[in-house]
Amino acid sequence: MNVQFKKGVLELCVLVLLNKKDHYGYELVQKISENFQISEGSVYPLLRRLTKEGYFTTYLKESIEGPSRKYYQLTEEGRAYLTKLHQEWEEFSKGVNQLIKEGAHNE
Amino acid sequence: MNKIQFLTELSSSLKSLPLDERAEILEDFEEHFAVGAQEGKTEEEIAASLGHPQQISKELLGAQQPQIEEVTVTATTYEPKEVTGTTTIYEPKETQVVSAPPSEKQVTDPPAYHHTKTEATSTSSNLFRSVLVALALGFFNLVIVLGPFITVVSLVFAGWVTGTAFIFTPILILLNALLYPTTFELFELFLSLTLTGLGFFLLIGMYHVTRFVGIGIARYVQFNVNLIRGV
Repeated sequence: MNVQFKKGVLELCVLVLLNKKDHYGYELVQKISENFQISEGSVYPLLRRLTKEGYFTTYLKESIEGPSRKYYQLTEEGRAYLTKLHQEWEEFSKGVNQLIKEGAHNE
Repeated sequence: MNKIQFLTELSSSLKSLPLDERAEILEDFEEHFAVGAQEGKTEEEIAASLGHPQQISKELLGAQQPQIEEVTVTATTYEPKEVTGTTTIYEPKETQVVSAPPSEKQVTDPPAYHHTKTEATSTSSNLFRSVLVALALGFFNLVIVLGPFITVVSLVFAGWVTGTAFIFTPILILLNALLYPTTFELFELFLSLTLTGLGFFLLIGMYHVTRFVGIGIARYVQFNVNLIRGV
């Protein structure tokens, strides 16, 4: 359950980050793992899957130092999917918080 | 684990993917290593926080549509029991996947149960399969592979012996000359020197042949192991 849960949340996080601006893989991994612990390698399968689904497009961009990087860009479908996921998350977390709050009151 | 080890392991567990796809995935991870190195991290640190390559490849394969169909097909052909076993465990969803080719959404939305499925498969019937494969392989190796194998190894051995012997022929000629001075002929000495030269070439050649044969054997053994493990 825990792993599954994280996977779903990971998807939402990636979408949210890409909604702000385009990122390359490493950047996404860093930004997420700054906030909570993930096994970083699983971000890449996720990126591939969502790209295949047409939620992202990718392009290569040279960087000043080092090799060129693959940037991910949110498509319109991706944006719609984000809205849907975000809404689901809001409802979900509201529900859980509500339950926790009630539990705390009863004690 | 360093970068090379990580990428090699990832690559070998993604063998079922088409080559270009695999290359693309490896590129992504190479980029990750490169950026991490720029930030002053060691390869080992980066590999450790990426997690285990096998786990990653599982997730990658789970996202692959044709892959899943393939898995289902193999499961059905190998062990009909198997399929019923899994269907009872994951009742509602599983039947969809097994009977109809899954649509994009069905497969990719819950990648999780694909994993659980492969895991379930790999426990019970795969053991049975492994044993069968091991038996068959053992028989095949004994009957068909062993003969040529011995031939090849003997040829390699003979090559080395011949090369070494060629190199030492002048010594034998000289030794002969010392023992029976009357039989000494200059022609023989020159001939033996030619043989020495040939011997060196032969040994250099044998070195490469041995390496080549060694790699071949190692690969064949690895192939056997993979077959038994069902990778």
